Amino acid sequence: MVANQLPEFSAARLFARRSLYGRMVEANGAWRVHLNLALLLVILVLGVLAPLLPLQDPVKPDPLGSLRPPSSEHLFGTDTHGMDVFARVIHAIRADFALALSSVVIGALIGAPLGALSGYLGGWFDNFTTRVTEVFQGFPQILFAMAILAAAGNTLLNVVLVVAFYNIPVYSKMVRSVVVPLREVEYVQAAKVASVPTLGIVFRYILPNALVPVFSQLPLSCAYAVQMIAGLSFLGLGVTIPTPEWGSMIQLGANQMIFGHWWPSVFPGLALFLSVWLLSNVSDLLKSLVVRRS
Amino acid sequence: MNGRSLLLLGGLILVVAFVALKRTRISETQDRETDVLVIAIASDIETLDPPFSRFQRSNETNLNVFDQFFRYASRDTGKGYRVADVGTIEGAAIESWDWLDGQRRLALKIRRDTVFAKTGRTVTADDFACWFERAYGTDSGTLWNVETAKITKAEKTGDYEMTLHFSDPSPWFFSLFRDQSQAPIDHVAAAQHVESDDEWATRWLSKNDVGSGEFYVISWEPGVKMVLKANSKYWAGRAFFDEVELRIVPNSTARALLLREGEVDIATDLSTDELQALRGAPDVKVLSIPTRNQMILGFNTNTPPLDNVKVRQALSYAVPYELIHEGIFKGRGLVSAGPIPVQGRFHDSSLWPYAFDLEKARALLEEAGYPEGFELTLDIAQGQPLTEQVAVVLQDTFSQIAVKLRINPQSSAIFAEQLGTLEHQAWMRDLLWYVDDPGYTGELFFKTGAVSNWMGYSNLELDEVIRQLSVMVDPAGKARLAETYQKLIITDAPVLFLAELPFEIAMREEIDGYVQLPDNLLWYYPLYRKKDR
Amino acid sequence: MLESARQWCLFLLKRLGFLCISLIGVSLVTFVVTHQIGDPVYLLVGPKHTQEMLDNMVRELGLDQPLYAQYCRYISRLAQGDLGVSRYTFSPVLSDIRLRLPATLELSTYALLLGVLWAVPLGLIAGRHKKSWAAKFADLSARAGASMPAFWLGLLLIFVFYAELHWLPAPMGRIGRGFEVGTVTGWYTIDSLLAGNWSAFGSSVRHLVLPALTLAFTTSPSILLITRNTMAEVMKTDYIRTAKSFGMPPQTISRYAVRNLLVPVSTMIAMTYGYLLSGTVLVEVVFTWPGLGFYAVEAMNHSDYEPIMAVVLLSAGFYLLVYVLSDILSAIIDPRIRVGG
Repeated sequence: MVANQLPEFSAARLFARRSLYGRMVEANGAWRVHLNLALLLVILVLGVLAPLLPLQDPVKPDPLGSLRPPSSEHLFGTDTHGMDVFARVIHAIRADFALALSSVVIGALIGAPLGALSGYLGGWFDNFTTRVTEVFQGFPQILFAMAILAAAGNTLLNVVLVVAFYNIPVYSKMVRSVVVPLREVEYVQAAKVASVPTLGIVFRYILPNALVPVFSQLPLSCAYAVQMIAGLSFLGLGVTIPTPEWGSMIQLGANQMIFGHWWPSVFPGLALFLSVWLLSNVSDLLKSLVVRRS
Repeated sequence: MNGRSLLLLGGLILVVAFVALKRTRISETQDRETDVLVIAIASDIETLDPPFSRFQRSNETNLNVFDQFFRYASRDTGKGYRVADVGTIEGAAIESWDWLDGQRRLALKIRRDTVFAKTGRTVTADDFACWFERAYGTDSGTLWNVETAKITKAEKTGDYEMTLHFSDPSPWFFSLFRDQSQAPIDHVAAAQHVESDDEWATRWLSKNDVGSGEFYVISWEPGVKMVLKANSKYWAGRAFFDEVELRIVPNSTARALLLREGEVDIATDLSTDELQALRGAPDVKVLSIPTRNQMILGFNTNTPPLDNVKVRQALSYAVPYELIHEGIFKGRGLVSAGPIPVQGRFHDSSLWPYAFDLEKARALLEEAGYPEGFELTLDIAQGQPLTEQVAVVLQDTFSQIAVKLRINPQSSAIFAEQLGTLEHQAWMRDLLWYVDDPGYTGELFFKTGAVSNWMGYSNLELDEVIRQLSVMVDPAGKARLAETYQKLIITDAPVLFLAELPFEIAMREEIDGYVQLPDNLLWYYPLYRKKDR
Repeated sequence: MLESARQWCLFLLKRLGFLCISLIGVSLVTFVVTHQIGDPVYLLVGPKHTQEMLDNMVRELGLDQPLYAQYCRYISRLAQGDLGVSRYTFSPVLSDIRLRLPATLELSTYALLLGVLWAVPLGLIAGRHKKSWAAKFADLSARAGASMPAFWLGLLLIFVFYAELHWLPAPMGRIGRGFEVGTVTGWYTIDSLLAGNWSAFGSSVRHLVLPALTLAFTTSPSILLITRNTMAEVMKTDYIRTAKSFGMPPQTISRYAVRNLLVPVSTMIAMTYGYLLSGTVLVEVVFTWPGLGFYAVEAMNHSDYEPIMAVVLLSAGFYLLVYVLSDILSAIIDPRIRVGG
């Protein structure tokens, strides 16, 4: 045998490190991985390319052509303003995903280090942070978000901040649970003895272990964030008229549904449903990569 | 107890439930002996004490529960409804009157056979005097009416006579005093409920009606409903309906549905889409009545770039008047044509130059020094779909002259607050001019420092015109002043006049006798149910 | 014995202390936040006003005081049971809540019941037989329920079952017009049964169906998943495998397994119930259900602080109470939790 050629059935081959992708396929089946990733990619690409696509103007009102049912000209029909629902659904991808992603990233960027510090330091800091995060999970989310937005101003930035705020406890708890068992690990003990400052220990040695769980949680958090943002805009918060966004589109069409005009609300809702579903699935796929330490 | 048996149990429960539901498909309404007019309203009645009533719902109840000083006569339009004729005043609680001293004194004769429904007492001059005392004592909205009507003193000159003293002849006296809050109140009942810290019995009167009107309140479940009963001793005869039930249904679609299902007789405050849907429904009719309600976009005339009159004129040319009328209002209502509503007295269409002309708009903007356009924030109150639709259309047309309009919906409280503190850069809402007199509108809205001058607008020449209008009773003089009034406002363009809204109300086909009042309040008295038996 | 009693006291004290501090924290934050929303003063005095009327109103509402003074005033009134007066229903907030709380409770409870009846059996089967159609179906429905926006589902159901099929009544309240139901509990289903009014019962049930289904479908996934996962874990444990290998009947095995499920599943059910009280907001808006959520949304639109404060405090309090109670319950079942504190 040639030295650099792995034999067919050797033990080495069985234990060779596979790529992340390979591991995902192995754990979940090729079909599932491919379908979910591809669909999500399609949605993201559509969102990014939306202004360049051959769509109708999503913000052009046409009062004389309002509430037209789906037709060849308007694939998803028109809403009360006369705007094309199909173009709006596609353009809304940008608003919803951008807002969701930024909130989740901000939340994770604050929550993860907080969780790591809390887990590593222990003691009263840990206790205090844990209790406080528990309390904030008890807040009636939508109501409190409404109150904050009404008080601080109904801007997109505030929506992002509020949703980010709700993400902080999630990442804090998750990272903390990864960090606590690592406190006693040898290389951490060694670093302590070597007088490496606490923050350094946390960031260089401990936090990287939490990266994979955090990344696998991101899509799921995005899913919740999209839902929360849509819910808030359904109540009229955080939208600018006439920017397309699924929640506000559903709200605009809500009263029409009772009278039989189903298309202004159904299509954005489907898009929302599909996006959240895909994000959750992708999160599951990523989570299957997390090595369990049991 | 394993999973399978649990599922089976669940399935069984579902089947039972389904069968039970199917079987209980009995009619969901219960019949009554008396003929009750059921009206679905959007929110609760705030107070039964007229001087403190600030919202449309309480104003409407006060209209029907109190017997006002005067009322407008009405005429048939031949379109299935009557309208109030604002040029003709009739006496209601007041039977007749005489002007004396060159209109500086008014001798009022009080109608003798009016009775307070709840106490049985006859209305006398003391009850009117009580009303005036409360107006002064409570420092409320009615005092504004008294002062704007230029009344300096109200004195009782007999058991059934009163004399009012005026500082100047008032062209608005009758219009102001047919307002729903101007009516005698039972002074004996009021006096009985005075308390040490409440000398005007405001607490008791806010929950208890003491009027001599066509109806009186027999029950009030806050947040749920209020029931009125007909006053059988009303001087003009008893109303057709034995009772009126006001059902509080906060959601407009729900009100529309209740009407369609036949569970209420009248549904108020519906959106254009709901009215449109109801137009096709069987046994339901929608009345669409042109009114003096204008959709107005107001500018803060003190901050650039809106302090420049050419900018405001430019924007006046960027409004697609016809499209708004045809597309948003579906041809109902009227195309706007100036500060005096099209249906108002002294309106002169020839004075209105603005039409949808983007070229002119661009030219004016350039003249004003804004060839690149500018950004503009438009505040509107939440929950107003019509306002929002108009704003969206404006956003589109303004963008074509490089004016970037940002629509900012606010809660009604903040919107109202910022109107008062002049914090809006631009605002949009509908305004109903129920007194058909340009001087009144000017006094309230366009005069420098006026209470509702939400534009910070000041034009001294216009102030003088308004001042003269406030004491001018001669029609020819009024016409002259009105022309100047219109010209000044049109040129200055402190606001945009976007559309004239119809008043639309939906009711069961069998309800008839509707009279449109200038303040859009629903008057229950003349309504009746057609019975084709 | 004494040791265990001491443990209990410490544990309970810690938990109750946590509850109190959390509530104070919640009230403080909410108070500060809601008071930035804007004064309803202009709305209240109306357009025909004078500066004096404005100042009087400000003084009457106590808005000229510094914020901490207003907060203290609020807390002292709260201690006396005075939640303030709503500026748009024109009645005391306490009576508004008393009217609306049963509506939300009734809806949440039936939604939870439906959710549990659906999720627990399905979860048990899916956990037990991991490759069956039931497991796949459970997976799918959990994912669907968690991904679907509740307010959209509600609209869809209204469209199908009311607008198109006319099987169920219009989404405008809890019961048809003209039905008088006594107010013993405030739950229309119970009150109508107590009064023997079958048609009213039927009507209230028909109005409950769609909103309860909507809520049940979208909030039960967590219960479904935890039931399934815990069941699957339990099936893998040694003593279950031993029992199986001894040939014990499936029912006995299931019974042993279920005992282990009690703590996690009941905790999740409790959490869901606690969450439901505030989580019904969007569904209440869609169905015009006159509950707390709808009340708070209306108050928000009118810049009306008192109801918002009251509802937020109530929901947070309810959630925290349920959380603490389920903690205590778990501690009773599993003593290890007590010591951990």
